[in-house]
Amino acid sequence: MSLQLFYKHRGVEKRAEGLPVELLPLVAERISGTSAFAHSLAFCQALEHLAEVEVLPRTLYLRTLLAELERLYNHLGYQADLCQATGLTVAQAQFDLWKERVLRLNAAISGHRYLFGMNVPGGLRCDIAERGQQALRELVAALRPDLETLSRLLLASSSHRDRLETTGILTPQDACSYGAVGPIGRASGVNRDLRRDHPYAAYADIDFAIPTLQEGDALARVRIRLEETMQSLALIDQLLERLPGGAVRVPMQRLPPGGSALGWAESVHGECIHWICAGQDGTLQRYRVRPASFANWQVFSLAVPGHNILTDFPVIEQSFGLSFAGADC
Amino acid sequence: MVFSWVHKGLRTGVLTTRYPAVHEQMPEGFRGKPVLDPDRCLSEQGCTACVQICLPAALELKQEAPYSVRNDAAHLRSASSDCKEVVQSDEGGAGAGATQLTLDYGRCIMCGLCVQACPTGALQMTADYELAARHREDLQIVNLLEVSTEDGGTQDGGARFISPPREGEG
Repeated sequence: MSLQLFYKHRGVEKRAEGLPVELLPLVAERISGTSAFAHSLAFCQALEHLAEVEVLPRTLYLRTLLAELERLYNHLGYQADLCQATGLTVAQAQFDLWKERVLRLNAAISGHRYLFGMNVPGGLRCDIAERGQQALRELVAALRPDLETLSRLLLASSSHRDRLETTGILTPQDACSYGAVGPIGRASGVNRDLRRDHPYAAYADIDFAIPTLQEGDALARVRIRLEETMQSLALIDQLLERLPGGAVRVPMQRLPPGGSALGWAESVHGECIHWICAGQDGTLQRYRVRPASFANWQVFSLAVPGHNILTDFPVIEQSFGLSFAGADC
Repeated sequence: MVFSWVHKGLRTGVLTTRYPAVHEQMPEGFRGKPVLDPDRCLSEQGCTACVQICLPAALELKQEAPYSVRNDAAHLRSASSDCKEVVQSDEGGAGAGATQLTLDYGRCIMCGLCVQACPTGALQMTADYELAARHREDLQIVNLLEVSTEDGGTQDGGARFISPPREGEG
């Protein structure tokens, strides 16, 4: 199976060159809409590192919280997509329902269903009010038991599970050689997660587990996603409980001419790396981004051949849950 | 197991909303389309804050040449009532340096930075998300400054969006 990517190449790196600093996160967000927050976070972190700006504690916690919200709605959506692929329509509706509730919560706390426009260099554009935090607490409290029920039902549904077991196997050796990242890598034994290994935002202050499996089939990916969703709920609870007070934004400083910096974030797809280099006039001279999907699309073509049949293709595709726009940027 | 999914589904019930028959209100702070209050806009006094911050160049400012350099009859018309017509013609503005501020909703990404940049609050974000139109032109080249809100004109300059059918209407 040969992949033909880059139809969604939009020249994002080029577009960012020469832009004033306050417009740059807008560009980064639009690399991939479903990992918009993670990309703008990585980008702002790079800018702040370069300009030697230290953000406030509340910013760190809220950024972590929003990043986990992004992970949450995506994982719920991927379960729904996979249920659609296997024809488990009630399950699809149940997961889509939860995804929609999270998207509506996103709209209420950030003004955008996909959390666009929250990260600015120096912090966040706005705070999350107590009412929004309470809505978030209630959503997590309602979702957790329902997710346990849904997971149990899902993994016991043989019409669904049979199509996932041994389907689309990505071996640990291939995952390692090709540098698979994110939940795809972790389902094939690549025990890496930027949140734990290179902590950013508030991840160093909170407890969470990084599930890893070795089987590398679609079922392993489903189980990793379910477990990561539960971890996200636990993370959100911790962050809300320990949220520091104060402001959420500090002024951004000028970029030192000729300086360069790296920013990173673990999006729902995996590691996103942003490298920036400032020109002599203080605007961005060169921007290099490696979204997670760029790494993972390469391993997709390894998982498809073998003993899989034609009708396994949508199952494999949905179990990978990759972003075309993210790969092409 | 199929039985359990049926149970789960029945217990959840039907949550589909009745949009477009019933309008879906977006939460407060939701970023829909921006609108301009021409009475508070300072573009005629030289302010270009919104245009400068607009990344997709949806906002555009044009200064019409003063009528005195043009040799035609347009300058004989009165400035106020025929202003719209004159500005849109090729013959130039009726007054000295008439300002034309256009907003192309097709280019707008609803980021809200123009609203933040506006020093007088002339630009405001609304939660209106119903921006479908039948033709590309219906979304663009709207002279925001020409629209008076007193005579019932809309602040989006009369961009021709399609209104969804609502219950109890028509």
